Amino acid sequence: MKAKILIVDDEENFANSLAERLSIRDYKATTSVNGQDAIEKVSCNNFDVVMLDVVMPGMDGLKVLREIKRIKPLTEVIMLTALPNVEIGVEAMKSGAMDYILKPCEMEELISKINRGHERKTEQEERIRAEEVSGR
Amino acid sequence: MRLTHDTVSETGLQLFAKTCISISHETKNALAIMKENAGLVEDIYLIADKGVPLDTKRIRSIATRIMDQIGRADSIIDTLNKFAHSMDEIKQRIDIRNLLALVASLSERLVSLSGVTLTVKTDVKPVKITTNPFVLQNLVWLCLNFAMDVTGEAKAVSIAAETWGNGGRIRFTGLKELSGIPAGSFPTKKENALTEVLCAEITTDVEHEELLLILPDGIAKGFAKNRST
Repeated sequence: MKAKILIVDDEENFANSLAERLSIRDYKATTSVNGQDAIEKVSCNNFDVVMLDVVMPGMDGLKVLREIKRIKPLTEVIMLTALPNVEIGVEAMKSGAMDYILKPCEMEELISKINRGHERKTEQEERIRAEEVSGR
Repeated sequence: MRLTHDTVSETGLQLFAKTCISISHETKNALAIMKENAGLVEDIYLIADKGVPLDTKRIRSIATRIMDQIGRADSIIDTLNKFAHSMDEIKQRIDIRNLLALVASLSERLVSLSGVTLTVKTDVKPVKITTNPFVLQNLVWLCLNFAMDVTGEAKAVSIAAETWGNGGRIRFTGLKELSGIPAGSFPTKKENALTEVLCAEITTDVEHEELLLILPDGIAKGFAKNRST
């Protein structure tokens, strides 16, 4: 089964177009245009990968990332940014982001990162399940 | 005088850098949307090759999205171009209303990121003065930043230009928390240096919750010459 993805970006047109392209490739993609809405969607759903814009009005990407990792630590987060910023990149990695990607992005690169994130999450879930079984 | 020169230069460079960051970010966002939509058209044609009927309405809608973003990017570049031309002459005859519209356009993304709504109220009549437009943009930008910090929960600031004596003045209204600002904390060294260049004056009116930037018709003599020479 392909990854279940949440795309968070205040540029609604960008998020929708990307979601359509991922849906054509059989991924289940949902969109969100602000941090608060994204957190609500993450709490109510089991997304495998969240693609998260760094610069957003209101709650910025780093705050949203920390909250996502607090409520769903296994969900993998890929940061989206229009311009590279080393400090923000380092901070995002320290806060639990799996990777980051620059906009405009290449679809092959994006798909490869999404698949890697999905695999990592699946592996971790399996490990936890195995530990639970062996601990009984 | 040297201190004022250095502060003016430093503040000008900071505005230039902030503007470049904001404009490049905005342009990249527009390009990213165009790229995703162009990619989507490619994807639709690829699935059409596999037998899925081509949805012409969808293609038309994507073309509209791309055209919208081209218009957005075009407008962003126009704004950058106008901003760069503000340094053509150190002393220029300007209409303050146009300058406010330009500052509002330049700061659109940063204002939006801070969650504030900015309204530019334009007078019907031109408000013309001779001034240093780059330094004035800088001062308006600093005053706007201050105004956004003291707007309170309303998060709405209005700016308006009007004729005042032989010159003009700019009113920043909606400063709900102006009364809570400690005495002497604004204007700072930066605003004072810029007001000196422009022979301008900054006053605050707590009762009307507004900041007034009073501008004469002309600038300080020592600053009328091109400082790069």
